[in-house]
Amino acid sequence: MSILLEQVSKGYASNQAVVNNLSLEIETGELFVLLGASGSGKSTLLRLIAGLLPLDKGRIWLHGREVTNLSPQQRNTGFVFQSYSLFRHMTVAQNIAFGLSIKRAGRAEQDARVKELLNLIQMEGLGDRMPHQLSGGQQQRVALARALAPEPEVLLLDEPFGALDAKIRVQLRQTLREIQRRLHVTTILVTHDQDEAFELADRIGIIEKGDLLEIGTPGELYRRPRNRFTATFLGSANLLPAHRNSHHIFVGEARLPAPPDSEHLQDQPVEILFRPEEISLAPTAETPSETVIGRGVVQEATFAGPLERVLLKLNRESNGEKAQLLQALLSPSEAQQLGIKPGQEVWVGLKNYHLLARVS
Amino acid sequence: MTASPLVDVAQRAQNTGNAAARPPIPWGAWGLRGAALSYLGLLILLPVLAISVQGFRAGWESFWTSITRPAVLHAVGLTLWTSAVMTVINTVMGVLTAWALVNYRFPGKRIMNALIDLPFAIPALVTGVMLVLLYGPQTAIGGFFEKQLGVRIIFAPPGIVLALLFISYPFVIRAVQPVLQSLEPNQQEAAQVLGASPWVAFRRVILPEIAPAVITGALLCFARALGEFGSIIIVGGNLPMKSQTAAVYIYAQVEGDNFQGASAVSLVLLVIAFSITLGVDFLMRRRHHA
Repeated sequence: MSILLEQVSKGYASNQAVVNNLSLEIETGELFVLLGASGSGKSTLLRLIAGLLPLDKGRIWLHGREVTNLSPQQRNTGFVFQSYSLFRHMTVAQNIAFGLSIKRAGRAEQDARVKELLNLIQMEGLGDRMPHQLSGGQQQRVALARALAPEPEVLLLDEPFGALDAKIRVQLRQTLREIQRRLHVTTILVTHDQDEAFELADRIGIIEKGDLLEIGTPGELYRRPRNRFTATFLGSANLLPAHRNSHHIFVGEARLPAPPDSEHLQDQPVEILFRPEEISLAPTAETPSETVIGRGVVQEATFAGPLERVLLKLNRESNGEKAQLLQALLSPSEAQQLGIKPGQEVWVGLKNYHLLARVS
Repeated sequence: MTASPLVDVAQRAQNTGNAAARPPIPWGAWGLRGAALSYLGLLILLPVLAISVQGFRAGWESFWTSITRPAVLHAVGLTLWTSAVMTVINTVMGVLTAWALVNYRFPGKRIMNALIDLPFAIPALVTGVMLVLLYGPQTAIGGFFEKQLGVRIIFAPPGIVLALLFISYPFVIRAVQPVLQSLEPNQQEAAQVLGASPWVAFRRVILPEIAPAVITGALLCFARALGEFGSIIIVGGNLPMKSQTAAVYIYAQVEGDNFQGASAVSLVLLVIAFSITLGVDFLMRRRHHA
């Protein structure tokens, strides 16, 4: 176990917990992404691990060594800030060598390590540049090299790509993933960007209001979330109230077979979750009847890059319930076949779905 | 040039007869430059010229005699060392204060920030009176220092240093504060995570960034202190060879109608102050080019 947090709590002066009794275990070499909205406490948690903030309660171990009461300089972590925070009066090489020079490493050792890292971040020959001569993406790569130079036990990244253009961000993610795999350094990355989390993470932890709601691989959290917040925070989600008996789910008038992993939700109020891409539309009711959940009216259809985004109003004829809006994603050929246009009536079927406990 | 062809044609029509169409003389721009230069000349250079003429009127030798009198040497020496001591103290405390104001939150911070400029607003004479009331030999504090420690504050160099500390208090703070604010965030933290103690992080990461501002502030402090008169005439009095600074000496010469002596010593102060101004200018330039 590389990083172990035990019931860590931190509140600020306002007395509201920013990190609330949080426990977490991260494996050696794992790239763990803490995903949350701004103000969820994710950056605070990272600062607690680095020792940049004192914690109120709990304990922290890094590689089996308790660091709860150690200062940042005793913890041997690497930290990358969103704002790069390079030392402006030092060259790229001096920035990278800073950690080693603090530890009084020899000149030759420093030079060799700087060269190695410049190579790793694909910036060979730029060691003599000043930070202000570099692009944002280059600056952040130098910041990464600077953090890695003293061979930290743990690498902590606080929204490292937040200040960069979309295109550079995608490139840098790949660079980071490669470097992290090669060095096998245990890493926590904090972000609010779910694409980033999906692309980079071995596991994702969803954090909200200082609570760690759910941990899982990207696929698990997307397809089988246990938590409503996770379901809606990761991607778009259609959620409808439903009821499950021993074998079936009832959504309004419709009856669907119950998914096998939902036995614990039998006879409880549940919600059925399906993603926009899990909806199929048909002009008549003749699609496989098991998965049809009702008839809908197309509200609008918009271009969304490789797919068409369709907004539907689901007419649930029974119960006098309010009509529900659903989001669907169709391939352009599907949309063309159906001749999707506002006002059109379609039958709504589900290719796939998942059940969540309903919290009232 | 993006002038429309129509204007061009109109101008050419006006200039018919001229071999080459000359651009009109920018009277406004030259006028402004001329005004600025004449203003500088009238306000600054003319008086400096006057005092130079007066100082050297009786020749180089009497100028030299005027500035090598024991009273003058003592006065200039006293001025320089009290200003230097004050500058060291105010530089250290100014950097500390600026650091606290930028990096910490504490009750009363806004009021403190507003109070820092107060010495600029208080008349120097009032400063002197305040210090005499606080540290004079008849007061509790002044009495304690004089009787228990044998240190005289008022009418002595310590009082002069106190007065200078007060009047020059804002310079370093106000020079360093904006530079600290403009530093990229997390610099100190980045250094600490890399293994630096808070002090090493400050020395190796923050100090190089703020050094030009610190030196600028210190030089301004020093230059301001060289010419201080109002508070020192009250706090130090006018005791030759004891508590008479250069500015007070000049005042005494003017009182005694010795304009040549006053001018000669004034020129010495002018040369020192001007060198400092040049130094500040050089540092500012370097900061902007960095």
